[in-house]
Amino acid sequence: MGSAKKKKEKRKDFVKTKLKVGKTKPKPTAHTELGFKAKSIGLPSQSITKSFTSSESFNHHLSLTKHSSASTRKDALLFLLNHLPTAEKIDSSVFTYIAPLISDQSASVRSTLLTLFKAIPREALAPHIHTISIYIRSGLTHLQEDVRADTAKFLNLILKSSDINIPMQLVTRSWISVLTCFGGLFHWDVQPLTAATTQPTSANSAASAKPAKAGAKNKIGGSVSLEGMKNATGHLEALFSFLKLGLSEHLSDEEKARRDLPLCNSDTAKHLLPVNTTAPYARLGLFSANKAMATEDIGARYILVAPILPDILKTLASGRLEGGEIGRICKQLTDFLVDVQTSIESVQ
Amino acid sequence: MRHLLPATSQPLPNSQPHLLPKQKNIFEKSWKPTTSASEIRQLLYFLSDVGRSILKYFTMVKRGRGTVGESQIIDLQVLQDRIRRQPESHKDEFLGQYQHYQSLKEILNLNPSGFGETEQFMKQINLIAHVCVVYPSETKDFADDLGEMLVNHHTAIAVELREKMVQSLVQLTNRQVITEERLIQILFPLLPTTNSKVFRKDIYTTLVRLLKNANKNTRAPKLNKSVQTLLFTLLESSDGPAAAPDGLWAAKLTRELWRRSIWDDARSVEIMKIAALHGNTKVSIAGVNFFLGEDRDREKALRKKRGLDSDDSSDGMSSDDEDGAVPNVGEIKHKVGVNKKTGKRARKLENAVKVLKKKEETKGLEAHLNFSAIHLLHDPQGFAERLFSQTLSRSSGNKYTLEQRIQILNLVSRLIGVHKLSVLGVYSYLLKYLTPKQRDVTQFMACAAQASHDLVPPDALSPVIRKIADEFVSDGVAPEVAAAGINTIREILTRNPLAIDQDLLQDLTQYHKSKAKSVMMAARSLIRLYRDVAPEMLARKDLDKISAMEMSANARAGIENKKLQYGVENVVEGIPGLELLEQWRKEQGLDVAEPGEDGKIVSKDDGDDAAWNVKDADDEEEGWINVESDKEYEVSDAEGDDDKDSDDEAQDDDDDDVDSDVEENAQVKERATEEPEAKRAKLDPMQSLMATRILTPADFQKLEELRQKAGIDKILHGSKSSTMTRHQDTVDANSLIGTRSTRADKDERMDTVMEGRKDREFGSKKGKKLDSKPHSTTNKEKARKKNFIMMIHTRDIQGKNRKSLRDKQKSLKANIEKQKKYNVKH
Repeated sequence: MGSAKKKKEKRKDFVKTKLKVGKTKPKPTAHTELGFKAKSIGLPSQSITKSFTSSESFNHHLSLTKHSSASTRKDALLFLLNHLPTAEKIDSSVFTYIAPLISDQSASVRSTLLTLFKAIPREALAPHIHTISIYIRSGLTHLQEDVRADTAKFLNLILKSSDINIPMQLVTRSWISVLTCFGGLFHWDVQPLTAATTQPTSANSAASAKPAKAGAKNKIGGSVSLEGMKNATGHLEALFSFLKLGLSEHLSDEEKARRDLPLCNSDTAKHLLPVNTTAPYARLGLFSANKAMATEDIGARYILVAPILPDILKTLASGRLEGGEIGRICKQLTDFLVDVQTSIESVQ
Repeated sequence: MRHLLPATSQPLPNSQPHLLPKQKNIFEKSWKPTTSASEIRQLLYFLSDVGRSILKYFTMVKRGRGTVGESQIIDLQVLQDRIRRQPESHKDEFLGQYQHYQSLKEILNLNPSGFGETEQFMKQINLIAHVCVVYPSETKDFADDLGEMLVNHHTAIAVELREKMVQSLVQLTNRQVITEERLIQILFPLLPTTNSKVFRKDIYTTLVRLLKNANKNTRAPKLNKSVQTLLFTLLESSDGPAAAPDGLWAAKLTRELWRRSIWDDARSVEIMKIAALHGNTKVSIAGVNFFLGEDRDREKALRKKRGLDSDDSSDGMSSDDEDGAVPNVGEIKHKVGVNKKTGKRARKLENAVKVLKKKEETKGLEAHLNFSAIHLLHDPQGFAERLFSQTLSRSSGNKYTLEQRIQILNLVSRLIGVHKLSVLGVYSYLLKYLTPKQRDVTQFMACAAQASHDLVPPDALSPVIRKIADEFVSDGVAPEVAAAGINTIREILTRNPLAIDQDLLQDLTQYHKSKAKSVMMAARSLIRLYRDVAPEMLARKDLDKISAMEMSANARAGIENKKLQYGVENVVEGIPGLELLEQWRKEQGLDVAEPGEDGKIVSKDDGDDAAWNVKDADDEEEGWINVESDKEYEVSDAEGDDDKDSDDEAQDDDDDDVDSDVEENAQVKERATEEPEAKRAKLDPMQSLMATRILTPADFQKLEELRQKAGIDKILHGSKSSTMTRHQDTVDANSLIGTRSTRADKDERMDTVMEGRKDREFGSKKGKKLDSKPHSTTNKEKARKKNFIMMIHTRDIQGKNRKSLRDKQKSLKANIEKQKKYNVKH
């Protein structure tokens, strides 16, 4: 019985299927169904028991900085801090991982990050200042006040670096954007600055005049009070050193000597390639669509800062009334800015 | 950019100095003893103003101390709400957020794929999109930024962020911050470039919705035109030898909008035409499918709109035959009455009634459907020629599969049939495929039928007919093959009766004696067709009574029979049987007056309105003549044309009485020179009546009656013949096979049975359950598999030999019983 059945089935393989009028073509006998079902897929190359090299575990902890749990992130940062490689081995990937943590939700992560930043050697930090500055800017404009407060610490860390080339990158490449961030912080009217970035033609002067006026009208209670601000000292300090860096000439003894003894043009050194920068010509916008306004020279910075000076001075005036540490910094900064203002007026 | 403050959020007076002059002014006025209502109202306004500003002042003071302030607005939702109410006082907070957005944007641009703050960024975008109407000057770059980010990073950024961006852009469009054109310009290029299916669908639905909303109340011709131009350029830019399927989106979008009746102009048809001629196979097939299926699409959409049917899942060819086949309810009812009552039969009847009802309901729909796309085509001849030469001719290579070639051929043939084009290459192309062994041959046969019309030269068509007759119709082939062949030939000949010669026709008609019912019916329908169209081509025995009598009368009178001629249009002269009515009226004495005074008579007739409001119990259309849309009628002006005989209907009607007609014809022949005059004499009564009277529905009813009485209207098969000679634009491939008369043989039945069993499972549930999970062997399994040698000395086995004869007999009997049961089961 079974054999008959088998025979029948066997015979069936060699019977030619009839083509019928108006019917679709039957599938050929050699037709292979390509779909498959599998409950699990084994990957023998993956194994739990595997030892990691130091670089591998470093990279693993780098990726852990994106972990959802704050304590894990902190632990990862601590690991990185303890296993920091030499300056040559710290590349951009490290900063793409840790820089976003500047605006982290957890305060402990931020403080650990600060210590990590302090531990990173200056020469390793220098090429990545632009990347970090973007995250610092985002931190300065962050919604949460404590994030903003902590970001000032990072900014101060960079600005007070011993190597002047590091903060100068910030000044030369992101003068406008950092000032805009401070504007948001202290509630200045930064319309002229943003107008300068979007349309660097002379037409902006007319266009910016009107919103500036409107902005002045909007200010009801004057600028923001510094008393209620968290870490106002830190912000003011950062602002002070930033403006000071941007608005005064920093000449080494060598340069001074050269200026005194004009063998060649005394300012030549300033226009030489800056040391320790990744993209010295980035401001020219040769390879990117958006051209930032060049703030390489001190003159341009003066021009840009001029329209918002009254606002800054107003903030500082209110700050001086507070007294204490805030009042002291405000006093120093006011003195400096009054000098700047007089020099601007004298030029005009 | 428009700066529109919401009506509810009036800007408050912000500063005290603003108030002061007003205050002074009003107080000055208020000292005077005034009772004017307007001034009181003004005072009230002022007081409320003061109150509000005092409140405001206090909040400011509070904020100044830093207890309540912007620092506490953590939630962006709250900020958004506050901005909506008091836009000016929250400007600073907003600008802070906008700056944060910008810094996040920079981070995104730096490293789009590793962007970690998607959540935050989405919130920022949401906020700005909601309130950017309030701060137009500050946020003027927002829309462009979004567009730029989308275009540059749409592959890298997170899905939800991408979605949010699109959503925000749509929102901006709705608030008229950006125009619809701009939005489409941003979104449309993403459609072919993105590799995400979800995103593509998202954009696609967005575009469709946008266009739908724009065209909701009134058409938006400007937007439509610009979008159509975009589609044109997309199609044309991607065309070429190595064409990309980008144009597919253009075709898809157009088809969708056409389906929703949002676009129904010739321009969109032109887009699909270009798509059909596109170099890429996918695109061109999409275009072809549009022309083949757009009517059905639209009808379905319309039906859905009206809630007539919820879901019609059938698609493609299958719904074609659904349209064609209406079940014969009467027949099924009869069967139910006669045969054994089963649930299946009852269900069959129910279904048939349902289908019929649906048909009735959708009857009214056809009037609402606009011109179909094929009719709106510009230069159909060029389109058909290009389509044929590009895709079907040998030079195109084997780019298309057979199914696709069939679709294209279907479209080409439909174009030829509808527009009466002459693309002669099609007929020789078809010859290759018209063999019974060819896959999907019925489709090719349907195409052959569709591609024929009365202006195709018979020389081009007759090889096709000859081929079909040779290949399909012979004694050796299966009945359905022969039926398909004859049916196809009939379909072709309905459209072009001249394409066959007499011998072949008479050969084919001989199949009406075939034993296979489908073949017999096919041959009969062919005979019926030629009785109407050209009876002289049939053998004498195939003629019906009336045409036979007519022919013999003609022969007696020595007149040559009327012959069909190529290129002669069918025309109708007058209303059939009108002279009967005239005669009847004379007999009844209704037409007492001269035609000149008819005005009176008409008014007399009109005196009773009943003549106009005739309602038939059975059929209300009885009194009206069915005017076919695809034929040209030339009414009454018969002076110019000298061939009145080519038309079958005209022929039916002309001869009121065979004999008198013959006589008259004889006279006409004799006096060939005075023919026009004679004709006028014949047409005179007709004209006199038509020229002088307006026929009422009652008149038509009477006319019908008289014609029936006179027997000239072929009432018996009149209805059938009229449907036969009237042909449709499309030929259904399945209908060509004809009805199946024989019962399916065993093999076929087994096939269907096996097909039904394919997905079912057999065997015990318990065993399967056990098999599915890992389990130890059961005792039964162990016993079954145990080695026989080990078992041979057990008492059970040994005992078998030692059984008594009676016990042996008993167990043998039990075994036989068991076997029997087993055999019954299997």
